[in-house]
Amino acid sequence: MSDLFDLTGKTVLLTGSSRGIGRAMAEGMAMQGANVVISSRDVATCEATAKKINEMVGAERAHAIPANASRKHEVDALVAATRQRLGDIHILVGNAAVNPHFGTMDSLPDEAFDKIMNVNVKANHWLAQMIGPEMAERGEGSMIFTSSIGAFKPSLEIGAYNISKVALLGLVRNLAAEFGPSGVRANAVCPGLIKTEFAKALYEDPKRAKAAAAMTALKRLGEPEDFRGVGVFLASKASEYMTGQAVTVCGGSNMWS
Amino acid sequence: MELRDKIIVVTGAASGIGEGLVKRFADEAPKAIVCADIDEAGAARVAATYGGVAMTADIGTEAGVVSLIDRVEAEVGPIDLMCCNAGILLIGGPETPDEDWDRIIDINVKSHIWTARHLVPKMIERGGGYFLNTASAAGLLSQVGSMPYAVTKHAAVAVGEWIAFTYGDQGVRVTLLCPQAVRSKMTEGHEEGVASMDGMLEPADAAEACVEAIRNEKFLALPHDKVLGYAQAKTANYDRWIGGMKKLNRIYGGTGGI
Repeated sequence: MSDLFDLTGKTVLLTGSSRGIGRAMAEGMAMQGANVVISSRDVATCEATAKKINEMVGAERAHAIPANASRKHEVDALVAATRQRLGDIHILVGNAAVNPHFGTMDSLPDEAFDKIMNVNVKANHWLAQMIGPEMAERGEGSMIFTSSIGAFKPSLEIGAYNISKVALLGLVRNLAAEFGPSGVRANAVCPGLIKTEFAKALYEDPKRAKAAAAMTALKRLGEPEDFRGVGVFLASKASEYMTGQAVTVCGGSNMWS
Repeated sequence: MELRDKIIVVTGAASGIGEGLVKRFADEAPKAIVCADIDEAGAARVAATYGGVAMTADIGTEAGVVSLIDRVEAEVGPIDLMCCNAGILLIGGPETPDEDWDRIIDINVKSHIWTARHLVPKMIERGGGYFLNTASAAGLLSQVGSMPYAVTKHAAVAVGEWIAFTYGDQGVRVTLLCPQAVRSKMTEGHEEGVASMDGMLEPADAAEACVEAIRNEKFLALPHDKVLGYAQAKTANYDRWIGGMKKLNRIYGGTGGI
């Protein structure tokens, strides 16, 4: 049974993994024996997080390779440096995302929309384009992308973000279809409201946090650590027959919708 | 250091002094020259013209610097000579908005610091390495009409000095390029400016001075030979030097001086 979740010797490239959900997924995978790449545009945080994970697992399994996911040449460098240091890439986690705009669509500047779509959708496409073929050649691999429960509903505040997250589900679906015949899987994780820096604006007001927690079946907001197990599951043999799916992890705020 | 069989990286390689360096280095039969620039097409053109490897890089962020180093070391090999050449010029004084200050500090100074932060440990591990950092005569003297340029280039000189005396025993060497005006996009339209008083040189002249300084492992590469005399005169009598600069400011101050 334990073999199902074993990731010993696997290399995982994660974007947006110096903090929050990406970091928690990296922690979970490193605990299961994987070598994980910690990447974000914040160099110092990448290095600090890699160090903490290595202390946590008592081995040198986390490697800081900073890059700005919105720039193709930096994503290129990230993939090249990962291969150089850790060899084949077995698991990809596209988790980096931005949300520079709060407000309705009619107030959304082009620049903000471009930035959102570029990081949240296109950068994940680049990663799949750069890493998918090597996975297909080996006949196995798992790609995991962080979408959101925002993909399932409209928003008067973060509409553009939600739109990008629907598009990301579209990407995941297509990757699953394209790479499935080669044994490579692609799935999305759709977090609810999780207490991360990224989502701070949505829960820092205690009243709002309370109301959001009341909307969940488990009566609490999510913690980044809640994603350790989900990441391990989707990365490992345990989810062998799952592909093209959107796994909602939200404490029950959303159920099939 | 001889450049034969060395792996060289030049930032800001798409034009001006950077392109001049690539062109001149190519004559020395290095193992590889990486032409890095934020201008993707420009880097590709220079690389194709002189037999280099083009890489897009934005050295205005630490992640961009790390990415460039990572990619070179993964795809080309260990960097022997790192030329931190990319730089910008802004005209103005203390009224320059903070976001512009931040940008010129990031590009002209912090990129040198970030590069040292991530490359010096690798170089020390390998027994040494070489930095060619493009500062300016403005870093030794000053820049009439541009406080941000004067300040950031002074800082770039300080960064280069510090690296040279701190890591020198571990094999890290530094040459600082400190020219006055060199023909480039930066100096275009400023042919009559203060920095051209002693003549505007071509990128090839600056590159030649660099190759010679690196060969002899000299700290300063001074394509305009008068610059050393000016620097000595400055430190010999600061008040007199300020007086002289006031005169230059009256003539050239409004145009940014270069």
